[in-house]
Amino acid sequence: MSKRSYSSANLAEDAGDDQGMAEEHGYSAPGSPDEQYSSGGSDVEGGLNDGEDATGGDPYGEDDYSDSTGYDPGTPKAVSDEEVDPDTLAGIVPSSIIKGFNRSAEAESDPYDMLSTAQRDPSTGLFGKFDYSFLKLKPDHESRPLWICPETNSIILEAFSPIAEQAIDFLIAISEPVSRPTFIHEYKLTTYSLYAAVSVGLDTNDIIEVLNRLSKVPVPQDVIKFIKTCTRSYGKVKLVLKHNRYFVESSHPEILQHLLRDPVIMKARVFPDQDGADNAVSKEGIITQKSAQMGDLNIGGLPRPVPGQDSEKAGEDAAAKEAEDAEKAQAEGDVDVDFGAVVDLDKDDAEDDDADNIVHAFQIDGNSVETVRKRCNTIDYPMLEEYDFRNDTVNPNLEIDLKPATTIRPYQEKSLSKMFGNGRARSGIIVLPCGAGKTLVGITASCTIKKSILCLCTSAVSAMQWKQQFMQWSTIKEEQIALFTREEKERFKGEAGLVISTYTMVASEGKRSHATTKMMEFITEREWGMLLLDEVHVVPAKMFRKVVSKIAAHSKLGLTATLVREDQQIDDLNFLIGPKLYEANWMDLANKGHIAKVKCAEVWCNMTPEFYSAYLKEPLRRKPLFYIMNPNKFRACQYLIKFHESRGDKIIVFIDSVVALRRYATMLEKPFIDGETPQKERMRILDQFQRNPAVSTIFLSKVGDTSIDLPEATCLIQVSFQYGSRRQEAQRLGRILRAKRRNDEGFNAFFYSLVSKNTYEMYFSTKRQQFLIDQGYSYKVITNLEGMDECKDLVFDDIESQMNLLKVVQKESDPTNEAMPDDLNFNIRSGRKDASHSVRRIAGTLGSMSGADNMAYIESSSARPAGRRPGNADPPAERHKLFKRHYNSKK
Amino acid sequence: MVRLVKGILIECDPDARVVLLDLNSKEEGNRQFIIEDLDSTHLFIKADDLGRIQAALDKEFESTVYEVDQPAK
Repeated sequence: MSKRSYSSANLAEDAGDDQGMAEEHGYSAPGSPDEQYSSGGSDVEGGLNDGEDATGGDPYGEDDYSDSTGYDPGTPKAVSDEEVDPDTLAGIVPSSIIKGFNRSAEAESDPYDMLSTAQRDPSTGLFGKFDYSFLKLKPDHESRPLWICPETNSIILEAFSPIAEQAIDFLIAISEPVSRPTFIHEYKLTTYSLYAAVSVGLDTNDIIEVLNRLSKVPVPQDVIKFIKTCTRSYGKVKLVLKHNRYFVESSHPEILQHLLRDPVIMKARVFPDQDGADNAVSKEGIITQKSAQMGDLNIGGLPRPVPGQDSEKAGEDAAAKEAEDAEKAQAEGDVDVDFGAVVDLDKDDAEDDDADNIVHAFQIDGNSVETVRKRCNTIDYPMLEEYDFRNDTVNPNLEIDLKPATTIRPYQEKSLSKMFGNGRARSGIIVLPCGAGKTLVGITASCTIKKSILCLCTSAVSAMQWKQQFMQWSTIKEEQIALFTREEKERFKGEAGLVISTYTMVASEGKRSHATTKMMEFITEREWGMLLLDEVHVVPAKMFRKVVSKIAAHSKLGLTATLVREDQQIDDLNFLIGPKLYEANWMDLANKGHIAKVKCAEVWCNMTPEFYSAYLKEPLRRKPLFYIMNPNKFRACQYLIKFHESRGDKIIVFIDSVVALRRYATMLEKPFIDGETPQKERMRILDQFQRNPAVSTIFLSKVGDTSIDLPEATCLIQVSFQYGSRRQEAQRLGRILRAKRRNDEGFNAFFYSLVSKNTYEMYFSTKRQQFLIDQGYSYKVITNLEGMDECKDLVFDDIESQMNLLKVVQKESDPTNEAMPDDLNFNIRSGRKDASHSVRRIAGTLGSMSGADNMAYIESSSARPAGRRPGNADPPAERHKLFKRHYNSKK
Repeated sequence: MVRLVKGILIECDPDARVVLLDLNSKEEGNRQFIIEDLDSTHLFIKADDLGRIQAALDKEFESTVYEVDQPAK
């Protein structure tokens, strides 16, 4: 702790920069530095903390400056001592900080002081425990974009700051985006996000240092502590799959010893045969060998070390990017270069370490990998999974490259650079909005790894689409692609290839046809270079665990648009696949024209009195039918279709309920697709929709939620939806995000959600919107559609036809609306019973029970681990001890 | 014999009327509060029950409102 650490953390990184900033904001280097700093806190606060100086309190500010750097001479640093002094001399760093540190050293001994309320301004009491006015602003806070809140680990970003873009890159790496509207973003540091940060090569000190540099207030003590706890032991242990056997690898033998003392891990351990002279096996069975080397294959910070065309392109891109960055940095005269450098430097270090080190490993049983992995998480040594694909000589290479014409967008490249950051493939999840080219990310990753790839998606249709996309973007030959679905069971020719299948095909057990069994053997016997998981949010469920542990894959890449579930099972993805590597900002992509701009509207339709009365009388599980079939909704829907058809829009109407779907579609004379529509018919309808100008509206049930690619669609009307599923809302919005016309001048896509007023639909509707609102979308509420009253020949315009409809509806039983899926927590406050408990009874057709009707979502609900029904006294989700601790400590 | 009941004329939107009718029909005979159902926006009800049905109405309509989560506390 010295002045040195203070300056290195905050101001001294680059004298020029800071001066630039200072001048810009009218903060002149103090003539009498002493005064400037020591009174700095209270000045900035407008005297809120008067009298504090007398007590020598002030513990927060300075002591954080010192501690946050965690500076010790052994740690590699971007700044050396020599660079510090000039700053102090130049008057940028007031010499008074030395005093500050002395004072803070005492204060540091009192850990509770930071929470003391005595320093708070009385008028801020309204903020309760979120009153952070006791945090001291740094003197040059205006040029720094972050606020960091103690206790909650939240980070607030001023997205309008000139260096926001760089700050966002950094925050995405270390924290979870909570909410990202236009001007102010909220991020949150979580155990998982920090785990992800470590896995992409950031280390504790870098994180704290960069945070501190960006923050308006010193990084609070407890946040530092949190970061330290979470990152301390991460990344020390690696799980390596070699020759179809799993090894736990670490460069620290003592950690392995420690792990081996653990009973669970000990049990899973396998004693290998002496295999080869280069591996020395100690008597404990620990194999010592030279670590797998990257050597010259590792090209600095290049995202994709791919040979040939691709790598050149990558090189150019990276160079261009760097140049751009540098330019920007110069233009702004700001700190971004610094922390970019820190990150890069760190990566290099990590590589150097690898190069020098001998790696120790022991083998574990393939069947208990999952157990061991969880155990390691519990005992605070989470394992990273890395695949050194370039040095894998055992598995045959797959001839696959991106076609020369294929271009990758910057954000796609960025996401992939997280995956291949150090030349190895890391497992993890990439989150991109629907329509932002997730498929291409998957394909590019495959082209980088160039080994056998197993690609899993949600349905046979999307399997077909993946195949097409692979053919379209990459040089892979058709005979190398094998589809494995209910209809087709192909094998690829040659040693390596690509298998595209569905989760259900691979996961389901029990008696299978001969061909399927053979194919499964074919799949499980192989070592896969990469397991590509499309729409990965459906994975968290027991049957998908099986997939992940059954298939020997060196790396896993999960792709999704919406990493939200209404249950806690997202957390499990960290065990099953890996940390979230990248999450794109929707608004950002929309502004850059990668996805369409969308206007969202919620249209309130009044219930007709007859329907409302019937709605009130019906039992909960039949209520939906009434608010969906509300005649006014019918009319609103018809009006909107007319209106947008006349504008030349292509319209998709989503109706979850199959009964309602058919009625709407036949009533309005439009084609529809539901779960029972045969494949050929579907293709024909979709084709018509895309080509035939006379067919500009189609009705889809939830089979259309995901993976139906209709770039023509520009308008979306949602008539009924699956309770409060935020995911479904986002997926549906995704159908119009890839609109072809998105780059037309002033183009807007439209997303209408029709809601029956004063029904539960309102509740669900608001809940559903939360995800998109967090992404920066805003919903406009329309209570009255202008022009609808004048519009003639709308259906149900007299009471008689409405009454007829009501009679029909009352007789109707709708199997698709029977049960509320368990992951849609339906908690209405007025003491109502949790609906997910009360409506367990399911009566339906055999087809719908087995998932034929609603393939997109049934997977997530049916595959819930057995014996964990909600409503039992069990806690909603099991948490691992490690996370339980963090979870509880948050409260 | 003449029975005197003090009543209040209330004006409400059609949905509220339907909710009130529904509530009324669920009540026992002498606890029913609607004296006369006038038209789609007007009801004539017993004055004594006003507070009670206001509360019931609030409860019904509030149940359809989703409150956005507060940040973690």
